[in-house]
This record gives sequence, C-alpha cells and structure tokens, in this order.
Amino acid sequence: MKRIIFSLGLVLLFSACKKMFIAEPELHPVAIFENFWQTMDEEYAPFEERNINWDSIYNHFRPMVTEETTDDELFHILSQMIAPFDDGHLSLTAPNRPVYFSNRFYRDRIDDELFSRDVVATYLAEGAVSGPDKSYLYGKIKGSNVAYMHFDHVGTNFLDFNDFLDQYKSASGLIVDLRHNHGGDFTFALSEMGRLTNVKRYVFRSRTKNGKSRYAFTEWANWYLEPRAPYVNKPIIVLTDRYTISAAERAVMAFKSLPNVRLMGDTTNGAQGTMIGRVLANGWYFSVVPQKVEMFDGRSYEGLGIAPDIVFKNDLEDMRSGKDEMLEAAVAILE
Amino acid sequence: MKYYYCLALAMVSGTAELVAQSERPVQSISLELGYAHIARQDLVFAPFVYKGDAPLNFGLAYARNRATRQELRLHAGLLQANNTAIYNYVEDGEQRSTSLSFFTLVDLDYFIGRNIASSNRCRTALGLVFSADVQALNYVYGRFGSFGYYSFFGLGLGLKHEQAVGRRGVVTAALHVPLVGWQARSPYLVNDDEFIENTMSHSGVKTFLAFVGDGSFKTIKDFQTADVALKYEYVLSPRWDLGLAYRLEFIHAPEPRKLLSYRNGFSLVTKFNF
Repeated sequence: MKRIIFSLGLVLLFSACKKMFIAEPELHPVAIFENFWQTMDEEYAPFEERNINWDSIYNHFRPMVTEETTDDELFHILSQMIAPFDDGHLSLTAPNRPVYFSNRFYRDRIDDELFSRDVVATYLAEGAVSGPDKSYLYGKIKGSNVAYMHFDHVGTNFLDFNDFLDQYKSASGLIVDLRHNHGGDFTFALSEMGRLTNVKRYVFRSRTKNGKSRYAFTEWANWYLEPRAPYVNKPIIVLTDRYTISAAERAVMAFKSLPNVRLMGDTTNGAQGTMIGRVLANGWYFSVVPQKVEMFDGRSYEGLGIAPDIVFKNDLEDMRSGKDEMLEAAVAILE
Repeated sequence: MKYYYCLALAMVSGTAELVAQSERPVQSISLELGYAHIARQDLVFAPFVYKGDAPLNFGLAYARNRATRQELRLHAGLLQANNTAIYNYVEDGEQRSTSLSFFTLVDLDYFIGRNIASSNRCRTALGLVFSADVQALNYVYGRFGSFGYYSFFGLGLGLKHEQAVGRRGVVTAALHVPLVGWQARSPYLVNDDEFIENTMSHSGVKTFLAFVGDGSFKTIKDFQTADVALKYEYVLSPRWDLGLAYRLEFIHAPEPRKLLSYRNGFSLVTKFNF
C-alpha cells in the first residue's frame, strides 16, 4: 500500500525530477572503470569458454585508474581489458577515435582481403542476381553445373534462398558462401534452410544471463532445423572464413548438422552468442555477450570457431589478380 | 451535497457565468498536436536516464457525454532520446556518427463512467478505464542498436472533473490509474532465446502477439502506471472548441529490471462537437 501511495505521490509531482530515478553511475574515471568492470561481470556470459579471469583483470588494471586518468589513458585501459577476450562481439566506441575491437582479426583486418565479392562476381554466368545493398549474390558458376550463393549477413536476405533453390533445381551441387558474413538474425537461416532437410535436426542450444550472479542463466533452449517442402538433397559446400561471425556461425552449425554438407575454408570467428550494447557515463559505448551457445555435439565453439572439413585459404596475390582459388576448389569438388 | 461541492469548486475558479453544457452536442472528436518530453530509466537497456523530445506527438479522442460518459483516446508519440551527446567515431577508416535512440509510444484508453457530482458549473465522473500501451524501443549504442518493447493492457479507475471557467472556458482534469492488467517487457538482458523465438515467424503481427503472450498478470502492487491530464478548452462556437492540454504518463515497473518513465506533453487541442 505504501508503494502505491508513494507512486501516486510521484505522479502528482507532475515532473521528472532526477532524484526520482535510481542513482546513475558517476562521471569520473574511477567510477567509469568500476561501472565497465561491473557491467561485464554481471552481464557477460562466456568467461569460462574464453578462459578469462575477470577478477584478475580487475586487480591488474584497477590501480592504473585514478581521478586524474585522462580519456586517452582510460580508453587504452578499457581496451586492454577486453583485448584478452579476442571476442568478435566485443568493441569499445568513443568520440573521435577508431573503434577498438577485441578480436584481432577485426582489429587488424587480418586476412580481410582474402575474400572479394567483386572477384566472386566474375565467376558467375550471365543472369546472376544481386540483392539490395549487396545483401546476397547468386548465379551459376561459368562453365559448370554448380550454383553459387553468397550472403553478406543473416536476415531477410535469406528469404531469397528459396528462389535460389528453385532456380537451380538441376544443379549438380550448391555452394553457399558465408565468408565475410557479419551475422544478424539466425532465425532467418533456420527457417529458410528447412528445405535442405527431410527430418527435424537438432542444431544448437543457448541460454542467456538473467541475473547478476555469474551463474544466473535461463534454461537451455534447443534450436532445430524443421523440414520444409520441397526437399532439396544435393551436395553442398559452405565456404567460411575468420569473418564468418555470430548468426552466420549459427547458420554454419545448421549446415554442419546436414549429412550432405562439407565446410570449406578457414575456421569461423568464434563469436556465436548474441550481442547487446551498453553505455558508460562519459557516453562511450561497448558491447556485451550475454549468451552461451553449444552446438549439437554438446561443445561450445565460443572463442574457438567452427573448423572447416576442408581447410583452404586464399592467396593474397591471387586475390589481387582476381583469382578466388577457394571458390575454384569448391567447384572442382562438386563437379 | 453535490451542489455545495460544485459551488466550492466554482468559487475557487472564480467564474462568473456558466457555459450551457447541457445545450451542447453530446459527442465530440478532438485532435491534439504538440510537444512531448520523456525521461526514462530502463535498467534492461542502460542505467542512465534517457531524456528527449518528440518530433511527433499527437492524440485523437472521441467522447460521448450522456448519463453514461465515454471517451476513447488514441495517443501516439515518436520520441528521440539519449543520455549522451551525438559524436563522431571512426570505423573501418571511415568517420561515422552515433545517433539518438528512439521510442515509438502508442496508447489507447477507453473511459466509461457516470457523473458522481454535477451542476451547471462543473461535473465529476468516476468510472472504469481500459488502457492499452504499446511501446517499441530502439536503443542505439553507437555502432549498433537493440530493439525492446513494453506493452500493458489493463483495467483501472478513471476520474474526470470538468469545471467551467469564465463564460467560455472549461478546465478538465483527469486521472487514469490501472489497477490490474497484462504486462510484457523485454527480458532481463534485452534479448534471450524466448525473445528470439518470438521473432521466428518473421511477421510483425505474430511477433508482437508472441511478445505480448510472454507477459504476465500484474496488479498495482507490483507495477504502477498512471495518466494525468489537465486541459483548458475555450468554446469558440457550439461546434468548435480550442484549447491547451498537459498530459503526464507515469510508469514504474520493477521486473525484470526497474523501469521508471515520465512523459510530459503539451498540446494544442481542437475539438469538434456534434
């Protein structure tokens, strides 16, 4: 009853006085450091999977922060705190400086040039279809009976997978290219890949933080590929690289659950949980991963990435000369 | 007793002559357009108070004033808010800019009540209120954003008092307090498997219904919300009124993480009586 009277009293004040809200984190270097550490502590899920001792990181960095710490110093300290995670989902954004990516591939753009959509396009026969904003690209590989589709991300562009499957019914094999796929909403991959299976297949399970304790999680939720007609049963090669991340990795898990699929390329990024944003008192943004994911084999690939069945890495010089050897090798296997 | 009650209110308001309310048409449609400000602290998304304004804030109401009084009111606002200033940052060698978070808030209220006191100068009605609040929340965190939602469908009490002011003015004060209802909010950490599963249909309507379905029954003990309105209308003619309105929406929801929100709105009101 007291709460009701109190709340109604608040209403009658006809305003939104600052004192009515929970005290916000304070705006000074020490408080920002503490807020950053605590938020990660309470909301980040895969500490174990990434072998991170977050308490040790606190003990190491906390003495470096004082009330006199400059913005540059604080940005460097917070960046170094997330560097050991090597997590493709973790980043720190602050005014007038480059975003700091925890993942070394994203940070240093390692092997970034080993994939080029423009180079791929030169391999496609006339009639290739390109989605809006380069969201997808599909067509028949020149001089072969192999159909190819690249997805730039996982979202509504996967709805066109159905057209792709219809258009190349007579193809001898399919290449699904998830290289440099930056993720999105994995439910689009699961729903649209239903045509690739005739039985219900368990793909992965995940659970999310739901409390401040490091052990507070929701129950595991199982995710499946549900069959959808008409069934398409062809040899499929899925191409991956270190920039295949997040929802794209969940799509890779779904492909991997199919018996007629082989993964080819480089190991995926290794960041499969969902990502949420957070903000600090000084306006800096950072991201947090509140979820754990396990593939159908019962293992977590967070921090590891999903290894290909056929390891293949393009050569930079070849790429610069317009040659995608990985794609050529995949076509050769399917022909 | 009713007479003395209204007389006292009339003395307070210092009115001289009465507006002949009983001679006016019993139905009206009014349109409100104006400014709104929000201050919202939702710990699901951030520990900070997000403050901002509405580039678009409007209300549309239908009222029927017979022995039983009814009002159906739709209110919609698009508010942009943040806890920090917009700034530039660099990604992939390109200069980019952060942006404001934005909230789309839609309310539908239905009031049905009877006068508990009335005279030529004033009348007070008490009744039931059905409230439907739907809020789509787009929090932006620099490089990316997160979608969130809040919805409430509830029943409660409504109190409405109208007071003649001068020869052609009417002041209306209204309070709506839902007592029970069905509330749905984003999960503890913005999205979880249940949230994701709800989006699996890839249909806006089905997703919305799934989000609502994940809600729970609440009473005023564990969730408080209220709408307060204060309105002044000037009678231009038997058909037309023109006025100003102030509205406050208050929400306090502790689960799954504390939400406290105040939305203040100031609008111009045009009313057509028929």
